[in-house]
Amino acid sequence: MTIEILFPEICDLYGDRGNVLFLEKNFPHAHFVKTTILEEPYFVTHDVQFLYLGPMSEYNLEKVLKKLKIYQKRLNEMIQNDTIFLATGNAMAIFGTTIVKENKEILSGLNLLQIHSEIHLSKRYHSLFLGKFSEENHLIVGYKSQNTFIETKETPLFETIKEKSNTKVEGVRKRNFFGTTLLGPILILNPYFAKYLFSIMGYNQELIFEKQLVNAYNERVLEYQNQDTAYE
Amino acid sequence: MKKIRFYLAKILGKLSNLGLKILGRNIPYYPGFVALKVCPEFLHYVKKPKLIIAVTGTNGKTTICGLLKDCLENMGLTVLNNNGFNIDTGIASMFLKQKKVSDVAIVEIDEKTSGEIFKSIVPNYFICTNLFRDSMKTNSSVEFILSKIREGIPEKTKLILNADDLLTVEIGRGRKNIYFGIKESINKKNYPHLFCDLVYCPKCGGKLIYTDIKYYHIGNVYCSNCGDTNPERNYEGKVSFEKKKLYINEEDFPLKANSIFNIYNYLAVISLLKEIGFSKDQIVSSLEKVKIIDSRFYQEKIGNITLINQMAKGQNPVACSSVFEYLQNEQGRKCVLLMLDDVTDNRYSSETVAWYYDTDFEILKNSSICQVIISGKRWRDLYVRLLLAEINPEKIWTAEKETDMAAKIRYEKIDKIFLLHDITSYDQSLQVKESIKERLS
Repeated sequence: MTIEILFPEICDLYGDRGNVLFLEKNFPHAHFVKTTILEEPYFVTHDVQFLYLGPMSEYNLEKVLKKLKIYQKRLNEMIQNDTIFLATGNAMAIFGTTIVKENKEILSGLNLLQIHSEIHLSKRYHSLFLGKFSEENHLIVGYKSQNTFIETKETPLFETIKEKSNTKVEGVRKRNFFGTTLLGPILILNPYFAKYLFSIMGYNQELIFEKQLVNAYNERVLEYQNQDTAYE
Repeated sequence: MKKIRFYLAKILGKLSNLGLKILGRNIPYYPGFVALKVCPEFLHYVKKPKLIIAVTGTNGKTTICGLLKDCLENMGLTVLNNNGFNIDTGIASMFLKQKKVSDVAIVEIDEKTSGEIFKSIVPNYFICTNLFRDSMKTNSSVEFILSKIREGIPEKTKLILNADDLLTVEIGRGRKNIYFGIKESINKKNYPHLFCDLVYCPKCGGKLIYTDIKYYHIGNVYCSNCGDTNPERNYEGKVSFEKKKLYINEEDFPLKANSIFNIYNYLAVISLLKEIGFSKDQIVSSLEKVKIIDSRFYQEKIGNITLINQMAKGQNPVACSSVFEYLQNEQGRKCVLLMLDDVTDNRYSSETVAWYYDTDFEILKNSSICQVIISGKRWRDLYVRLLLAEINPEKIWTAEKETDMAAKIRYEKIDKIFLLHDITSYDQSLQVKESIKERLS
């Protein structure tokens, strides 16, 4: 199995490397390819089973979009072929139709998903997130810290139970494309979601340190469900 | 009318200061909050010292301000400082404390708000220590912070910048600045960190080549594309750990720190004092009498064991990892107590732990570290992180409450205890420190 991590030297903001670490620990025999922004992505000429793109600064968003635009067709083919994609934080915006910059300049996205995004550098939105992954009936816990705000007509990935704003849904699910604005080590924070994702990859064994992960998860779920917990 | 509001703000601010004292409450920013509520232009109208030094950057601000304050007071000057309360309310509180205009104000400024503050305060000197990713809640990215700092720097302010941090150098692009830095290699074991905030050239986007890394992206570097490199250092430091000296442009100064990040703090302080015009002798004699403030670093030898209480700012991966790297390089068998929780966050909310995965907990695998003791509300998350860092589970001890941590230490097997705390857990760390001291004496 080949797992490609796209541009980890710049798409690595705020603990998302935890997801890569977790993949490496659970798939020690997989072939990991870490492609820098200066290189041609491995997926262009090879089969890749899992493609990961983490959050980046809004300054790098444009750079990454420009880089991936050349491979739009190939990326579309991969989505249609059920390659697993995980895009976290603002990475999801790149796959959409349009991104409006703070100066109102409009960038065309990869146009692979019905997502419209707006960048507001002066407006940082931060919230805890409690949601539900309906497909498996698991609760999802995590964080949002955004300057890029996303609207989508695609099938959502999670239902929102609680966050600071009044959103009803979170993220995008299209075939095996999993996109979420949650950032941080989402797989480590959500062991049941990780198990689901890994099962698609054909891995149905116990997660590494599963007991400890579930302990931490259960504690966090209780905290997030507590009415007194501020979502600030 | 505006002036009347200002005087009213000043009176109410001072009264609230008095009120807090009477009530025995310690809320240092509150008088400033009151004053700014009454008169939003309070900072513009308040009488300011002739010499104003502003300090910003991700790490080292409070340490630099503390060292500078002590040095300047030792030189007989009256000095104002906002003691780490680095947004407008803390700065307003600082000015409310002065009975008559002081000789110097050392203003620590939060990186994001410096532009706003500079609309009211024009510093003579502006030190920027370094720029790194910081708390994800507020700081967005280093590029964003850089743009915020650049926004409002007054023309007449002289910038004193870290030449070894090209992000910091960017702040002064197009201006004539003073630079400090360390060109020579420092013979300490460098740890390959999990991330680097500056991989590509800020000028042209080319790949940066680091020829000597002090820590993270601080070091000697050039761009493989445009050739951009560190600027000439006006104050070039050389370190002698054996002699505990910092040599700057061939003059020697006492150095009471052996962590690389604190050496840079000393370098910034001495560079500024030289720039103001103090002589080497004046600086040396004042530095002899100062030390880094206890809330940042405290060391005491009790019997055969050295106890080190060191701040490792939570939510700030660079601060924590740098402290881990420093303790790894220290001699002896060590026990590390981690009190990294943001106590305030966890009291009302649930602290984000994403920063754990940008932090080099892997350093704690080092064989000289015999024990890692964790506690606090986030201990389960920390335990997972330590396991994923491949730290031997037998080395990891958990304490339900912080007050139980001292009892878990295997005193007979260690030479040094490192008690690492967040800004918000400093008070708890003092309790743990006292428990350890009781057990050792």
